[in-house]
Amino acid sequence: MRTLIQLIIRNHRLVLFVLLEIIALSWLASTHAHPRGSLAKVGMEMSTSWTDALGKLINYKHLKENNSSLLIDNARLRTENMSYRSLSTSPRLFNSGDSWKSTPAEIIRYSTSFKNNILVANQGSLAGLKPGMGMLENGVVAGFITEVSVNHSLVIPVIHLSTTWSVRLGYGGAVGLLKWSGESVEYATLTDIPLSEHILPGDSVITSGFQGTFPSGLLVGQVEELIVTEADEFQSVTIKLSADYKRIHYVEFLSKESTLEIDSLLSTSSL
Amino acid sequence: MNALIRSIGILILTCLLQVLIFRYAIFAGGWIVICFHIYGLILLPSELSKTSYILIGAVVGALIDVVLLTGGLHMAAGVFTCFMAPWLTTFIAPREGFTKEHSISVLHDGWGRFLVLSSLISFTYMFSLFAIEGWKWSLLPNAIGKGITSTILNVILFAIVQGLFGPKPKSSTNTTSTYHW
Repeated sequence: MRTLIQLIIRNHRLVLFVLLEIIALSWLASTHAHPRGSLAKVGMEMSTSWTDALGKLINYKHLKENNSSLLIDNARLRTENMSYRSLSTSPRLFNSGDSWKSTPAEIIRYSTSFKNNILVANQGSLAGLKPGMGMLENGVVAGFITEVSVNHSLVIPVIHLSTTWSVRLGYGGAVGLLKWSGESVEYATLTDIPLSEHILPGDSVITSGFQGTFPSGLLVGQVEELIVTEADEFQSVTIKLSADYKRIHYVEFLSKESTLEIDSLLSTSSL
Repeated sequence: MNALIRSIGILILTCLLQVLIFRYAIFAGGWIVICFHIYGLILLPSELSKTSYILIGAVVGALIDVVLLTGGLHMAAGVFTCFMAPWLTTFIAPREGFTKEHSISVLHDGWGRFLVLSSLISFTYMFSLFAIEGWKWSLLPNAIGKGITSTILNVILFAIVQGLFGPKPKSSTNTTSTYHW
């Protein structure tokens, strides 16, 4: 025992280094690079007041572009509204009994240059946001909430190494897993697609609705190119993401009452 | 002691600048990232024990992680860099070594030594940051590339700051007037 203590004392610097590295890496691993918990809330509150002030200045710079983007968005919504009126029910989108609710928000902080990017939105639990809710940017899938404070929420975008998304190729195609490779913010890779599936560049990739975060049928991106390995039974597809992370600003969060019911059922069954 | 207090003050200032301003300094799709608090770590005096150096690296990294929501990434990189820093300093140390209160500066050590130490410490920090972030062998070349590009810009910035705000030579001209008024 004494020898061990002497050994630790003799190499105390190395022991301290290893100990601190273990603490740092466990901190990183415990969050799976998804910042959450009380520390994440403290960080969010500390930095958002400064970011808010700076964001206001930056927003003025992009006011003209945002205005035209809002005009286009308005036109899209108007068109959708009219099509919903003419077709009393849509068979593909929002096809369940209870409908999805949308909460608008603004992205006040974002990173797109790292492997594990995060976004912070200016709405939190006060606006009814909860962890697990999906986020849309200009009507296309962009991320989901992992943590909320009273006035802010932390969002993990598609461009994050630790997330996988259940998506479908077109409305009747195969379901696969979408994962970001960590390279370009414009592209992600869709895997687990059977070789029998006939895919063409430009085909739409939409949400499957299986994760409960989004309704089925929401646009995620478009097929860019196929990656087929002879030895493999599955093919991979490079997808051009429809969400524009470099200019992300106004977003909407989706929630559905029945998702909570399903989550509680799943948690009961796992017990 | 004065040099230590001054260096801690500079370290706090660089951390504040990193959190408030340089957090936005990310260029070329994440290939060039400014971490200005490294400048504060470089200027820490050699009188500090290696243990204190590691602890300072951990505290600085952890504080930046809390504010930037990077969950332990900067802490891991800071601890690794501060563990390696005393060894990296030996590369640029003169034969007789540094004095107790010595803190690297262009005035006392020259541009060569300052730039070499800044590059070594910056690269250690940036490489470990990107390597831990990627956490895959396949992303290691990417981490080296990003480490090099970020180091170049960081060192340029440190050199500008050192040139502008670093210790200046005392003026040799006599300022006392020979006239009686």
